[in-house]
Amino acid sequence: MKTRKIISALIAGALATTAVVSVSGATLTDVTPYNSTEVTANIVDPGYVSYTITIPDSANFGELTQPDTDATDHYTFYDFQVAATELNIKSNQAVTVYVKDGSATDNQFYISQKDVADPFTIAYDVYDTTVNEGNLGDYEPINSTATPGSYGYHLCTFVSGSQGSTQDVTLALNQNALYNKTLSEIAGNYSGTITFHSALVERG
Amino acid sequence: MDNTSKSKKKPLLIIIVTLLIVGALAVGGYFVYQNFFPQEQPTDSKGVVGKISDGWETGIEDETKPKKTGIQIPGYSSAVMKSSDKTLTLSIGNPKANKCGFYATLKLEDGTVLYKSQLIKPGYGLTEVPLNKTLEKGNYTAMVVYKCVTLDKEHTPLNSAESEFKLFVK
Repeated sequence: MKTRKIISALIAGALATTAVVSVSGATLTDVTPYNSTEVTANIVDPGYVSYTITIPDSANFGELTQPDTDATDHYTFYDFQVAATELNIKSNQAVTVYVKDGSATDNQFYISQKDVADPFTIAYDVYDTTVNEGNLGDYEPINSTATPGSYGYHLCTFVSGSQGSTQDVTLALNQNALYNKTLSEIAGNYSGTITFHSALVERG
Repeated sequence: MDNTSKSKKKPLLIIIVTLLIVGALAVGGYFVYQNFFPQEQPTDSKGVVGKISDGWETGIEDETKPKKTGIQIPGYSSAVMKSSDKTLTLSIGNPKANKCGFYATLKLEDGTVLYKSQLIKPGYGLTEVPLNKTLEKGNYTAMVVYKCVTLDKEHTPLNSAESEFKLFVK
């Protein structure tokens, strides 16, 4: 009889131990982020990379030609894309991208003559779509219609889930800026840079 | 006869039950240990404190995949530090897929420069950023300015980027 009591007590203890393990295991699994794809897909620890955007390394207008007249426009174009290469952000977040000239202070975009004391500068426009000679009149450049902020002109916003999406951009330079200039003075290589500013924003 | 047989079976039964209990306790102990004392998770980056090192990765992508041409720029949501800290945990680096170099500058919105890097080649970076100064408690808007340059000896400037984020100093 005594033995039976001991055995009963031991069996009850074993069953109780197993029950506690099952409950604790299930509870911890539910709150452990490593086991939750929903949590790990959306949250990045502070200080770690949350997204990656891809910007053009350069924009090359090629060889510019001095026009014979400025009665008509003589545009040359350069197309590129800004891409949301990787987005690891919350569903209510977005990556917003602004553009500005790398050195200009008047909110316009320029390329400047290199290696001369008094460089000649040529302005160009930035379009947030693909434009060419055929449809140029249908669009307005962002640097003439939008209001610039501290970080330049708003170019695009990549919302959560839009990884891989791209924003078309065209730079348009009117070579009429070279009209009636002395070639020997303006000849040479020109360069400029664009700064792309990105920030994570909460969406309403 | 029956009593003799029963008395012989009792010790055997006790041994079996005891083994079951020991087994249950062992299994239970294993799960409790795993749940309450989880193994440390491996970090995503291999940077060394205060030093730009090889093997930097964004930690969110398979960088071995072929990418479109252009410059990949890392972006951040936030970073956290204590007011007495002279280092900031922030993954600054140049993704492997890039064909250019980075000069990285960590600064506040008001222009206060906290860190400037030497040339960071593709695949290099750091995660513990040494700071020029400590900061008062508060919430700041900060950014990493990535000045991109060619990898030849001229280091010709390319287009650049600024990655803005919130810096919380506690």
